[in-house]
Amino acid sequence: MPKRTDLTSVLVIGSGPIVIGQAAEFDYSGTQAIRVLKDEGIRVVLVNSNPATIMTDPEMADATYVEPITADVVEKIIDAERPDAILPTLGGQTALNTAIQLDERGILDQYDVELIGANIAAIELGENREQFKGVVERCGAESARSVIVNTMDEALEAAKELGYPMVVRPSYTMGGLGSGMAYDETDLHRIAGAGLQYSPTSEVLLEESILGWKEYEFEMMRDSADNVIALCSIENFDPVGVHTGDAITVAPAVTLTDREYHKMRDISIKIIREVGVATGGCNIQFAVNPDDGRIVVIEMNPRVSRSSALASKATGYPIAKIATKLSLGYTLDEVVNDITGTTTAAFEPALDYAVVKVPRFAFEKFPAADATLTTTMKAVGEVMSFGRNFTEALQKALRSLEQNNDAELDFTIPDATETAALLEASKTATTSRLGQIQRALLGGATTTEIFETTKIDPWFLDQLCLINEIATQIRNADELTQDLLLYAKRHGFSDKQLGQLRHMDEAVVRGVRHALGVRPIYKSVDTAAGEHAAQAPYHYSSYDGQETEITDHQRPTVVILGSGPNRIGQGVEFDYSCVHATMAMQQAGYDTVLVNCNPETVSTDSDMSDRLYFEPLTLEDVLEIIHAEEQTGPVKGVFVQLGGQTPLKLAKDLAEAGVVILGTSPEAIDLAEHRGLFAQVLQQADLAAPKSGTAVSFDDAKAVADEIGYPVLVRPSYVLGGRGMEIVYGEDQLSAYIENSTAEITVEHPVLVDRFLDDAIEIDVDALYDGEELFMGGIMEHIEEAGVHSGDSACVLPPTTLAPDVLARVREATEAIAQGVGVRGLINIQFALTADILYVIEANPRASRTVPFVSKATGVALAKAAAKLGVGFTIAQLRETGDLPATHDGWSLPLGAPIAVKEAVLPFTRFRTPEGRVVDSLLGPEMRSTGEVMGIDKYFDTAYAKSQDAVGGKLPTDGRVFISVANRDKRGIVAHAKRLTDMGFELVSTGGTADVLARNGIATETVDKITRDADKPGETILDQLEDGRVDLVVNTPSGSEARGDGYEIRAAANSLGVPIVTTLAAFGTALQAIQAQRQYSWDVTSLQEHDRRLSAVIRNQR
Amino acid sequence: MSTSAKLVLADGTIYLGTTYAATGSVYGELVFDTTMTGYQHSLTNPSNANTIMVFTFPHIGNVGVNAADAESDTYWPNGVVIRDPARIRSNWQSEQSLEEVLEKVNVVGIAGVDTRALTRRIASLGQVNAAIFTGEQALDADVDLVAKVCNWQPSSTADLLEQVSSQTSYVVEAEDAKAKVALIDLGVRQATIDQLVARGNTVEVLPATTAASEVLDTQSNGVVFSSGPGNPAEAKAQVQLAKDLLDAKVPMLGIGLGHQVIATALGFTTARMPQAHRGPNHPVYDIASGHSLITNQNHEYAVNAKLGTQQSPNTDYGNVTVTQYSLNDKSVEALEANELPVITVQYYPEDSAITVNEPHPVFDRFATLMATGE
Repeated sequence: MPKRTDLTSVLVIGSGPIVIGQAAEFDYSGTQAIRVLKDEGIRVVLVNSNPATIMTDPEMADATYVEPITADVVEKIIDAERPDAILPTLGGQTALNTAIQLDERGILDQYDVELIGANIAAIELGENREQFKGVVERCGAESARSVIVNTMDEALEAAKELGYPMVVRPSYTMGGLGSGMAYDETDLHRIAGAGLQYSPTSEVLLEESILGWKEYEFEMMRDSADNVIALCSIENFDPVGVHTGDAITVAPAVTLTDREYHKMRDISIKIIREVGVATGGCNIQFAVNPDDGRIVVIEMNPRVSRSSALASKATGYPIAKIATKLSLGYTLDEVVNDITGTTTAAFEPALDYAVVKVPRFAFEKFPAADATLTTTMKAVGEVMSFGRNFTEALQKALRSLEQNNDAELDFTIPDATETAALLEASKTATTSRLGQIQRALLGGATTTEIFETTKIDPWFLDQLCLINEIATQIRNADELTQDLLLYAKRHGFSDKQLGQLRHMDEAVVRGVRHALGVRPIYKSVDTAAGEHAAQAPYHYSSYDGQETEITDHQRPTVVILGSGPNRIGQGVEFDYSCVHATMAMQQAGYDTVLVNCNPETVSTDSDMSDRLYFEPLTLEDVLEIIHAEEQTGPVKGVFVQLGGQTPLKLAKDLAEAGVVILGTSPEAIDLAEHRGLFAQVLQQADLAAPKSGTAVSFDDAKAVADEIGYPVLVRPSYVLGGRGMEIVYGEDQLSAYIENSTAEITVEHPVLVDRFLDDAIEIDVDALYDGEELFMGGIMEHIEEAGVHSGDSACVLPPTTLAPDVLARVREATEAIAQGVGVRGLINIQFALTADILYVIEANPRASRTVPFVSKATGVALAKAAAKLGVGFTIAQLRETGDLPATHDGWSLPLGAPIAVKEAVLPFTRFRTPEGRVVDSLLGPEMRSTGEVMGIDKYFDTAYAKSQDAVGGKLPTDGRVFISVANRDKRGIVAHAKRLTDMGFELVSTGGTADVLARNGIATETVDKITRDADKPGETILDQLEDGRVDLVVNTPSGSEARGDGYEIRAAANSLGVPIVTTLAAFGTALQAIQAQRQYSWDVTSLQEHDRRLSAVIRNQR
Repeated sequence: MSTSAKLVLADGTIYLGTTYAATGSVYGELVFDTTMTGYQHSLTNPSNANTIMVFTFPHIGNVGVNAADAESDTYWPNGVVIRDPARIRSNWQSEQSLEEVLEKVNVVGIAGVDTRALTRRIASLGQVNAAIFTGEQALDADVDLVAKVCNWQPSSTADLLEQVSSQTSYVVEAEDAKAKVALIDLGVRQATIDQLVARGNTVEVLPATTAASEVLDTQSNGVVFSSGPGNPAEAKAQVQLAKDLLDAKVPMLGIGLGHQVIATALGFTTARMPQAHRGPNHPVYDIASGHSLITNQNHEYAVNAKLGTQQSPNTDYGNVTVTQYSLNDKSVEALEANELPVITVQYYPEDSAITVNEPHPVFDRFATLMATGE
């Protein structure tokens, strides 16, 4: 069936901010979808609130709405754009839920807009657990025995029948939010209680335990002619009990017989047909009882998912791209397989390698959280790796994680006591389990013992034994021979691991290896296991023989190093910059090479660069890639400034190895990163920095703190996202900090002690510098005061409360620093303004997290320009070519330019303490947000209101507000509270805040606190929150005292989804936004329209 | 890596590896199979007799082998090439390790080879003979080893069929049989017999050299020509048998080699394909329904015919329609005689996952042909 001709415009719904369970993979799928639609000549309208994505680039869609993804807002967009159809299956659960709401409200009918790629009935069948059980039954397959409940009483009744342990899963939540394993009645109360609240339909499924069964996933695809194919099978290393997003997984499945594989494939085909997925992808999860092979269907996602991104990267089959084509009416046999060029999309990929995915976690950011892995997904990112066998892929994936602890396997032999301890610890699934098992095996534990307690398939355990055996051989060998090195390399050992085993420096191992001619060659991911001649520019390293599949290239190559796994502090924003660089460099006439190991990204789409290397971002792996590129053609150099801290920290070593670093030089990077050297740069420029010092012991730190005065900000050096950063108010706290520091404190890595600037306004800039001229990308004013990590703070661009002379000083300082450091490309600087003194907090000579936000807000593609500066263009030239605006920059934005607000999305509800309570949601100097949204509008107040709506905390326009603030904020609260009552809000407060409000003649209802009045029968604020009688919570913390009530209130508000404000500054802004929302309903405006308006303003100015 | 085995290709390419399963010297046509889970099915498939099989997926043997999944009672290739043979077997159904059984039946293996480079080599050559040498024999000069491979003559199709076919006839009874089927064993896979029996056909398996009169004596409702090894053009006796049965207007189903034999009887020629089809992921387009099917295949010859309906070259048999073709290379995948009760498929239509109470496009059609003659 050929393409439909009745579709001329399609609305694509994106997935919004990066949250746990719904991350950058939807930027990858959405970007593919938009490219396909455009290629087909269809007008594309996009809504996505996440500015840090490639899909929201103004040149991608025809009309890009960076607006909240809610039914209300999407309706406005439909009204304005009148699309023929909506494609809701590529934007995760967010897009699907929005589509369902649009349907329920009759909006689809009203505007005569059709859903393509899905239908509501199919979504219902796939997502509603009870209905899905029926589907499974009709397909002749089995589900786990289960009961749906809507109340706690029903849950308790069901427990009698199912027995403990049992799985609790709320309906319609993503990433398994709110699910868990109940081992007894107390657990059931806790998990099901919360689950009933999380589920938008107050529906929870209780299910027989299939804990310890083998877990599998099948990626399926269906077209309009009812052709169904199975694209990829994925097997979990961790058995059922760990969310598949948190599990180590392998593709393809490796412990299934052909018959078992085909049974699951066949069930999958029947299910996708029975559910009625119109066209496109879906994934289906299975559990298999290891004792008798009984197959149980766990669930399905009737849409493109995280696993389909993984499967696309693992097989080379671009699921989202094909799914989009199918949604337009094409059938699989009509779509060409781009990789072979001769065959069609109607086939099932054959793999001739193993792929391993390992999740990346962020528990260190949430010390209070329980690090046990459960059925609720907690991973913030993942890495994927190719190997010619499992061991090679596994070890490459582990070093791709780029974590200090628990990353590469450690071969220190444990004694009997430690072995016993490791065995005991491995009973619980945690992020450390793989290493515990492997070392327990090294210490003499048997695979049988470990299988008994973990149920990890013996085949996997034996593979760990194999790795241990090789390690032992290496350790005991007389010397590193060519044979031994090859053997080790073919099982994934890094030079670093070999060095550790041989007590040699990594560089020495590399020298020996190179001298013996042991170097990797590169194979291709070609979807067909070599069967068809393919020119797949998608490579992975292997130590198999001599045949390399990299084709010769004539144009000079620019290598762009990506940012590795998503983590808090380094996420999709950096991928955005890398992808922009590859676009800009291709445009400038270079071959581009991308190196990355993150399957969730656009950068690892092999369509994006001339050659993609899916490899770890370690010095060893990068050097080998550059060598391979040099063997096949000219290499211009390497960009390390776009992928965040990961590639930046390789700069020096790469340069020492003779690699040309494009853009800012390693020496310049050092000037900015090294505190002493940076202080000199500031001194020369006559700029102030907060007083500071370094310390390697408590005594040192105390001396520094005494000199500069408390409070002080302490942190380890060379950190990302404020890791381990704390505001310290006194000596005791300082002592505790040094004692509990997770990072090792050494002379090379001392603790940094800075004066903490209380009540300062934080200012962030992103700028370009070419050695002569500064281009100010944008100046962002933070809404929360200094002390909240810049990644977690909301900010506004252009600044709304900074005087012109302050902006001028910011610009001058930026130029002086860029010049002093010697930047060629991007620089990000953080300032703090207090008592009208501008302090320089830090400078990063690289693309920052805010580059995409600034680019979207101002309509200037900063990363592209930075890449061009890196290969020798000047700012003046770029102004001429139109890469940069001819006349203005982010400093000279005229009045009338759109105002953009960035707001952070925080993952607190995901993390529970061991007692099962949510972790505290206070903002601090340590970054904890997973993603961000942008609200953009003509007016600041509305832009802010949009940003709040986009993070799911829509501000109320009436109702009741609970206010309880710290003493230092009491004076500031009065005027705000008055305004609230003027607008008709009712106020509720407790204790001191209530007294202050009363003294000021502001009517407020006083309720009991929680902790102190526990024995009194009266109603507490918690009761009101739970009853849904509070519409907004304002609670600012006051030191340690707030640990009691404040924590309880914030935890409850978070669990219940009540918007919460924790700083006075944000409260003021929220009030402006509330007022704006009451006065006028906001308009939606595309980025393209904002850009046109800005051009008009600038024209009129001249 | 210490090398103890050599894989020597007729074009002079040599791959070093370690021994696996049995040791010794073996020759064969080098073929690759892209299955990721079906190694036991492939190795017990008589169609792979006398080959050296390369598995493109590196991990082979992980789930061991079991009696229920065997396609025949032995392992047919002369040699196997595996990147990473399993060290242990792990599956609830596993009965023996793959290496043990291969060693027992003297299949010589080589492990640790860069199977991807090798596969690309085979794909670019189209067809190549090879040998595995182990131990002392591997120490000979490379040029001598290559010469040995070049001098090696593969078995004739007649010899192959004699090897793989049952020497005597036997009957597999179906419960509540609806029909009786005579199956000409050209190297039948158990899956074919199982599907027929499960769908209510009592199957009488007959040797490849059975004469038409003997087939007709079985009083069967239809005849199945099974899959098997070799060049259909050389399967003279079987082609003659098929002609005799066509003349007798017996309902027939051909699978794999059986499809090619019946097509040859209809007068079509066959040819070696530029590239063989071996693996579970081959897309086949069904012209009538517009569906594409993913099929399991194992063949290096294909029938020469135009897509659509045509006069069969042997004009006695009326029109023949090519009903399905390969989406990869447009080769013929299925035929249907318009005036005779005959259908044939190039791929393996059995599907271990489909249960007998579900409809089956090939076996149901054959059942109809047997029941109604059309």
